[in-house]
Amino acid sequence: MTVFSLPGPILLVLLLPLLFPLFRSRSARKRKSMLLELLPVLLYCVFLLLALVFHGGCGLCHQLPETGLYLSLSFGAVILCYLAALPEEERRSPAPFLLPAMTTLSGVVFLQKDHSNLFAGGGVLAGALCVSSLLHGGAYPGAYLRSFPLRLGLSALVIGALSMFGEPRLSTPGFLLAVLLASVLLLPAPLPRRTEKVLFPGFLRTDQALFVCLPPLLVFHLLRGIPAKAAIPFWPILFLGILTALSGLLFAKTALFVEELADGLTAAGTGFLIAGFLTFLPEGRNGALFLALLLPLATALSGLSLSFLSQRFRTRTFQGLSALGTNVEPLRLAFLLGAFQGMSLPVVGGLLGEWLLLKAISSVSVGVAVLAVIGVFLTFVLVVERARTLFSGESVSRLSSSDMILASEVLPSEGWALSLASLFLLALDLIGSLGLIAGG
Amino acid sequence: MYSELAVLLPSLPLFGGGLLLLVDWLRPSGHSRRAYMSLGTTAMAFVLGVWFLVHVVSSGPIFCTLPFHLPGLTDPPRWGIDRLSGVMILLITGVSAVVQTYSLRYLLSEPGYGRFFALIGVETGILLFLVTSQNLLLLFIFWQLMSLGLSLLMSHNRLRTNSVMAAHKTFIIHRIGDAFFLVALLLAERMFHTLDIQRMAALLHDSPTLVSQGSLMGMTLCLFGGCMAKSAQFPLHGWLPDTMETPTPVSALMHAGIVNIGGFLMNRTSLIFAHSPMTMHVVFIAGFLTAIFGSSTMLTQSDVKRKLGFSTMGQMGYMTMECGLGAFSLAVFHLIAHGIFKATLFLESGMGIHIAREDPVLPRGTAIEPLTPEVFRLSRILPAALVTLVLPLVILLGAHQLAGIHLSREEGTVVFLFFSWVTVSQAAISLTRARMFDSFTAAVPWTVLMVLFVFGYIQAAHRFNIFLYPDPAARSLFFASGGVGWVLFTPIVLLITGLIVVGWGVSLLRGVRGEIVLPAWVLSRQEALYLFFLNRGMLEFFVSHRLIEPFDRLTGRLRSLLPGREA
Repeated sequence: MTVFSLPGPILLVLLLPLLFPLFRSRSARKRKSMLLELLPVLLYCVFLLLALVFHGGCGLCHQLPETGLYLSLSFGAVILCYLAALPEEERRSPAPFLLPAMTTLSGVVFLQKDHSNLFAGGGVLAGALCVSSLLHGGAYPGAYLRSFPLRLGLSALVIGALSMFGEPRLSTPGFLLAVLLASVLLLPAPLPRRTEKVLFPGFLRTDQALFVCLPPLLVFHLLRGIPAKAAIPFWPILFLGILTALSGLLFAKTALFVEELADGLTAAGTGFLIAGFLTFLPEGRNGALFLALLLPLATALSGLSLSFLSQRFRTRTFQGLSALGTNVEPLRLAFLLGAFQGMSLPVVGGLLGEWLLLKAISSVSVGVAVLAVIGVFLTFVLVVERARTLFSGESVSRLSSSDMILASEVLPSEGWALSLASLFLLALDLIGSLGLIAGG
Repeated sequence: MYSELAVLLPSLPLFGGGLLLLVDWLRPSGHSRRAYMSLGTTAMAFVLGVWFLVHVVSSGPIFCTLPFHLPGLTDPPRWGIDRLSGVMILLITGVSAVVQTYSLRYLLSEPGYGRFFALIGVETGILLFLVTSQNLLLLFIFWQLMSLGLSLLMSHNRLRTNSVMAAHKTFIIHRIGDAFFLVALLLAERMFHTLDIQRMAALLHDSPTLVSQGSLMGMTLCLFGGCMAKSAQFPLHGWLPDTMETPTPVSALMHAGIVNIGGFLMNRTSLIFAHSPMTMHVVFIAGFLTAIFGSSTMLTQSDVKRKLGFSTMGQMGYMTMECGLGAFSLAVFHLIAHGIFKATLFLESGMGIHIAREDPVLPRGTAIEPLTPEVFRLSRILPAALVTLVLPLVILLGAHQLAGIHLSREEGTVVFLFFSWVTVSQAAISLTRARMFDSFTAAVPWTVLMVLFVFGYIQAAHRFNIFLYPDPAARSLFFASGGVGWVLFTPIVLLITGLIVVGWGVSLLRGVRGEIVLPAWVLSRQEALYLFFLNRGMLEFFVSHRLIEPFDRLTGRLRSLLPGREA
């Protein structure tokens, strides 16, 4: 049986995350068990991982695209971390339903094998993001700028319209530009989306999971839809990709609130991967896939650690949080692990993914590659600067010393979220550094 | 069998450090016994290093191909120990073991005692992997990990804002160099389609016109940019003097080991550098500027550790000059000698400062009136002046007549002679200041000893050159590429000699007759020059106020253009 061009058993696996609200309510009624609560999404990830491992040997798994499996698994892992960190007390939040539903939908879209369905699926997912922004914004009135759902809707329309054209047209510069513009509209920066009036931790985390972590994967999915056989690299398009990256960097550089750092850096990374992919070289595609998978996990890890820190000290500004993380060792470690990605350091920073992207860009234009290297350097400076501000030096806090000791301890839910994100990130980087992630 | 066993060598300190890190994380303790996990494995690596060096000298280098591909490269990366790696392994493990032994008691009551040793062990392992990598991308990976390890070591005490700031600055400056290195990798891959260092050199050797001189120069200059940051070359030197903020053992490790890594990279890629004479000249000029700036700034600083920091910078300048002249082996010789003596000085300075802090009698009587003029005695200054001025003549005659070295044919030997003269002159001046030359009676044995030292230095350097680069064709290629020709070389040597002679003459006249013989326009600039060097060339002021602040203002203005937020 095939539904949405997916085999029935696979569709059942993809529906697993929808059981999360049920398990969450059961877990809340009985003794709180994080493992039980997360079981549906955990099983979803395990099944996808098994499908990826046995991709060559199993007939059912072989029907699924390898790249799609990577993308679905990456988003599943990210959502797993965010679900672990969802606060109990925010009853009005639609996150327990919204996040699993988006996981299922993204799985269905990413696992489409038919090339002609890629843009249509991308359009559906962008539309779903637009609906999510309305739902989430509805639960927290005044949280989003009015322009935000509009730009997501516009992006969905553009992508939907592109899906109607045939392959030859999709490889012309005009259409590449349209894909690029639709992608930029999806990005969390440099265009703002929040009013900063709603400050509930649950709201901010769900917002990050949906509108910061998903866009890089969706953008990569859209880029896959561009036919490679007729495509030729155009350096102005690469330049636009790098320009997007630099504008994201500018957003992160001028960030006042900790969440804005993740917004800017994710946008910067996505601009970089767009430029690398649009070289249409194997290195560019592989590097872009590697980066697309790493970015959401790195955002989850560093974003969640900053979110936990700001929740402890009741402030969201960098200035307010200055040196307050020095004594919270686990959060410091988690932030650094996530931030290494921004520093593009080897072993934990996706250096070799960036190397592939730079190699591909330099084959088309050395000038654009030099610009990209400057961007990589500026990202590094920014991340190091932020890490130093938040996690070193003598803290000046109004908390008493006993409260500081309490603040330095990590709650079980926080531990789960950070451990899962670290584990996935390190595993992914190791696999990618050994050259085992290829596709796109 | 040797190649499999050789992989163990860099893994040893890495394993020791990693294990200690894990143990310390699980059960933190400040007991010194734990430190032996890292120290022991480092010492074992040193012993193994001696064994492998002997094996490499007798049976040739050990190479192995790693069982994986790095992304984007067709060849699997190679790894191995040759003579250069063997020598560097001994230097790194030796200095690391000494520094760790010193730290056993020095840091005993410090928080994070175990973590410190773990980090040193890991950093030593990374350095060993770096010097044994035969592929530029693999080397680059360890090159960056080294920066990360160094930054973690420097910010060991996170509560000390100054050391964290110094670590931050070091990391950023190193990253500037890394950006150049990355561009060099991209260019090299485009030109050679491989990043295996030996293959690149072989391709250039077989067909020197394979790549254009412009492209090769661009690539080698970018590679040199990477070396500049790590070896504190002007203007990427700002991180080195700030190491005074870090624990003394870290300073020692940095000045004796890590800072030399730029010189190592130039040596590792010497067969590529040698095909671009223009790059060699740029390297020489950069080294020359660094040596002048570092040594001059050192004279104006009052802090002992900062003084040593600038002294290291000057020495790194000399080392780079040697590479620029084609005397690559001399640079390695220099970095080993410098590594050993600078480690000693730093560890001594740490103890000295520690003792001075606890000594209630300080400052001593002689230091109370520093402005009191000393009585001039010719016997104090003349022997040193004679050593500096007469020695070159002795060297030239000795080399020509006794050793049978024909200077007109051996440009490399002249380079060796020149550097031995500079070294001995420095020693003579230092001894004069330390009042070792107070009388002619004391000066005579010292002078004789120095003459012997010069010939020993030349012999050792010459033999080391043959040891490190046994291929005579490679040696002559280096000197041919780094040479500027006798037409330019002779006036440079004469000019420098003239400057030294005039300098001594001025000092002598000032001492004997008590009169200032310098023209007024020189004197008027003396104070400005002193302030310039005292403020470390105003470079930090320039970077902070002319680059970073305008950049921040610009980004603020650009952000204000976006909707939803004011700047």
